[in-house]
Amino acid sequence: MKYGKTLTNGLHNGQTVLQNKHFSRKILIRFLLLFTVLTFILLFFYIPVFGVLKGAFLDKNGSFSLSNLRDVLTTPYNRRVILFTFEQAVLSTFFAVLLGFPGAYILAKVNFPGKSAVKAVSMIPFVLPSILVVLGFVIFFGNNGYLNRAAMMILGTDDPPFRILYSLKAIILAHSFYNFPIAMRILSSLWEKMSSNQQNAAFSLGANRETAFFTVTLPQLMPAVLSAAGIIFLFCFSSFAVILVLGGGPAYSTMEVEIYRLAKVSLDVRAASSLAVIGIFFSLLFMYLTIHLQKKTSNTEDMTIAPPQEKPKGITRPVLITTYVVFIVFLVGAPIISVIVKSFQMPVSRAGSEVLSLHWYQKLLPGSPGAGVTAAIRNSIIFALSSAAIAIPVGTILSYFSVKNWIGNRTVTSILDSLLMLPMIVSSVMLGLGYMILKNSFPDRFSDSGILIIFAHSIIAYPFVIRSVTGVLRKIKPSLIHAASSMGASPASVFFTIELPLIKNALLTGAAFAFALSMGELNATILLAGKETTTIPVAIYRLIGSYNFYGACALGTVLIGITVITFILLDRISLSTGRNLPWV
Amino acid sequence: MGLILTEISKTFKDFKVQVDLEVNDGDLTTLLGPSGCGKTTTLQIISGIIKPDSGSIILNGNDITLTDPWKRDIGIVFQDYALFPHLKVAENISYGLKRKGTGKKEITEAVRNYLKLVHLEGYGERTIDSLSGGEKQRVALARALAPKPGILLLDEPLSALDASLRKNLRREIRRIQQQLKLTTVYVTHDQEEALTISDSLVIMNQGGVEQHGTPPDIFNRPKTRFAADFLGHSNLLGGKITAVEESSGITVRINDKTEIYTPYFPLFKEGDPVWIFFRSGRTEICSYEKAGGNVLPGRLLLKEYYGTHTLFEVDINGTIIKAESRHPLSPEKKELTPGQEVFVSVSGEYCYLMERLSRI
Repeated sequence: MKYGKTLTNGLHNGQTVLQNKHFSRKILIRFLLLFTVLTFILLFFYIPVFGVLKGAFLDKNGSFSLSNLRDVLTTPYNRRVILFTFEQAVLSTFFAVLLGFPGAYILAKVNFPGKSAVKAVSMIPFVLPSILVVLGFVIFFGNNGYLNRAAMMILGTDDPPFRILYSLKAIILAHSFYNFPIAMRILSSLWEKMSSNQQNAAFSLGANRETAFFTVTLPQLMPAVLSAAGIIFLFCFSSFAVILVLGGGPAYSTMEVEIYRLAKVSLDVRAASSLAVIGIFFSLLFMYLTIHLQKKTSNTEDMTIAPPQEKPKGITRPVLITTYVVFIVFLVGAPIISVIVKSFQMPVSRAGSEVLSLHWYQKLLPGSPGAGVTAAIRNSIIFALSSAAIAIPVGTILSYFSVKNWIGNRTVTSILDSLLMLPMIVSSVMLGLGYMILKNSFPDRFSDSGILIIFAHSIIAYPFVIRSVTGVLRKIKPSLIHAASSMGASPASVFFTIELPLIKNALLTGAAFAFALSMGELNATILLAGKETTTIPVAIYRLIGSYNFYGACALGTVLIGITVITFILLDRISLSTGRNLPWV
Repeated sequence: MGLILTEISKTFKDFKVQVDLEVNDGDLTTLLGPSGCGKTTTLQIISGIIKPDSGSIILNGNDITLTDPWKRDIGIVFQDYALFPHLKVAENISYGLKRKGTGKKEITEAVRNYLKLVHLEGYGERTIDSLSGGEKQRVALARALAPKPGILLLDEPLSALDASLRKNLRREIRRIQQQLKLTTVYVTHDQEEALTISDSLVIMNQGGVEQHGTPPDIFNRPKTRFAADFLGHSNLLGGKITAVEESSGITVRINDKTEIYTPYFPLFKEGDPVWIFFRSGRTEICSYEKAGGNVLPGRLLLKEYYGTHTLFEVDINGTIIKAESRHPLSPEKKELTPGQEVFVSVSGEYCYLMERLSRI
């Protein structure tokens, strides 16, 4: 018996029972929390995913078969779609990383006025809904967009000089703009840890700037380059809105868009599922390769010295840096500002001359013909708040489960950890497809109420909460907990007086992210949204589809406003904690 | 009263701690030993962070073996301070009092008093970030003391600080502990710290207690080879007792040629294998064979200058004997060079015998 010696003493029996009571209460609470959360994830992530797998691997008679997959893979059109998915993802990744490189250098090594602005601007694409990027690109780079109109005015022609939209160029440009900040952040966080003495040592051994960069700096940056490229590739591989709108049709279609078309337009769930399974197979493969390569190239020795920050010297470098900064701010800012400007304009003639007007906003008001849009705004806010309210406790409980090793077995915990992060890899179109398949097995009132959209958004968001909370939770030293405990704080008291205040900012970051993700989510929502459950991004997509760009811009401006508020909140938090974003 | 650990044991995967320990009421007892000897584990068992497999812990008359950590009435000072970064200095100090439900007025009063006790008057509104290492450890001490715990545990409280600060803070901890007459367990691996601060000293090794006694006791009369070695600058010579006379002392044969004479120690008898223990500070070195005393011939291996003294290491039939000579050195000692034949000597009165159980 464990407490053999003391148990023989009658006095201690009472204490043993007390101890066990407390012990079992703690176990019970943990069990209940974990059980609830895992059931939720099982029901609203794994079962939908399983539904997709069933669609892919069961033939018409309901028996296991690879014929669906074979059918999809043998169709020349599908093969072209798969190939194009790779082509655009590789090119987009290359350009995004290339575009992020100078920014990473600037953030890591150079001090200049306006640096914090660059840092802030680089965060915009993280919280910017993809549908806004698309809208901004159409409004700014389109044949009748502001860029072409300005160029035509300067050149005095009637022919738009930049024909970008509805092509591979548009897709790559949008992807690079949307993803270069990821490369910038990941690269700079490693770069700033590298001592400039290594570069100086290379100089002293006879290497010039270029040689030193390619032989000393770049090899050490490789893990960050690979990690950035891996994430960006995955994002571009499963990109949806950009391809759907800027690709402009079957010629530039990718797997995600094709899954959507098959499910929503052709109503061929089997083919959609098969394509989704092929997609997830590739995603997992790239994820594995990235992690594997990263481990191979990683050498973090001697990387702890904080380097002195350089001031730009001479003339060329300040000029180059300024050019880059202006270019970035222009690339990020111009499309967004175009959306806002356009929303306040109204055409007065066929020729395209416009006057300032609040016409499109009036149309958003209740009672007007466009009032369906008001419902979309209301829906989006309700869905986003609800998703954050679900994702926060789910993510926090899972963080505790992992960091505090609740089940007392590291191997099982780490396996569960990776299974629980899977929603980050499974594309949201696939998730939406899974929900669509299951929709019929729920009562109509349940599936039409928008609750499925909220659950889908919570599933997409909770891994980001885990990321955000886990990092901070790990940093809380055990001695802090022991100190509080030794001064009479019970475990509950320790949570509320020590842990909660310390993870507060991480929770806020997670909440803001969950809110922003839900606000901008289009991929799963577009498959699930009914008449009553339209959201802002879905409404914008439909307005673009019906060529009502002014209305789309007005609604887009509302979304920009909400996003900006979220963004300011996030920036405040990350400023006050100096922490990175949960996915970088 | 005080603290009594009886047959405490705790087994880990590759390590086992077994401790019996008594800390007198109001005493400062130090657990001293190399890292991994089980001293911190013992402290964590007392505080309840780790539950022992068996045994009992009695604190001030109460059995707390199974008591939850937050009900134990214990104050802890950690090596990494463990101050709550989101709370101000005053809030840190009042944390334990708040858990006890102490009134606002008393808390304000207590915070002021304890800040004064650790010489940090007026620091209440400071943030933890703004404190230096030494200030942090003072706050940690005030925080541990404020709830008036039944025992204070200090886990290597000074090892994160630099040398001069360590000495000052050590003296202050001792002053406060004596002023409050607080039963205290202090964990360290620093022998100077242990010798200067403690009422009693516990030498720990490989999860168990090697020796428990007052600092002079352990310094002069170590019971085991480990205890002797750990307190440093000691010499050990293996030998066999050839004669025991209560009146004149004990004779130990080192080798065929040499015998050493020590005072009489009870319990030893003729034929016992023993260690002869003497401090390097009591060991003399000379270039010629002096008459009288215990003289051993050898070869000088090393001569090191230490500022206050010079250290000589001499090889005597394969055993290294250390001799420390305080400055200024005699002209004859100054001329000694490594490689030459020398003689070391130690007066019998400075020799102490230990049982030699194994052949180490």
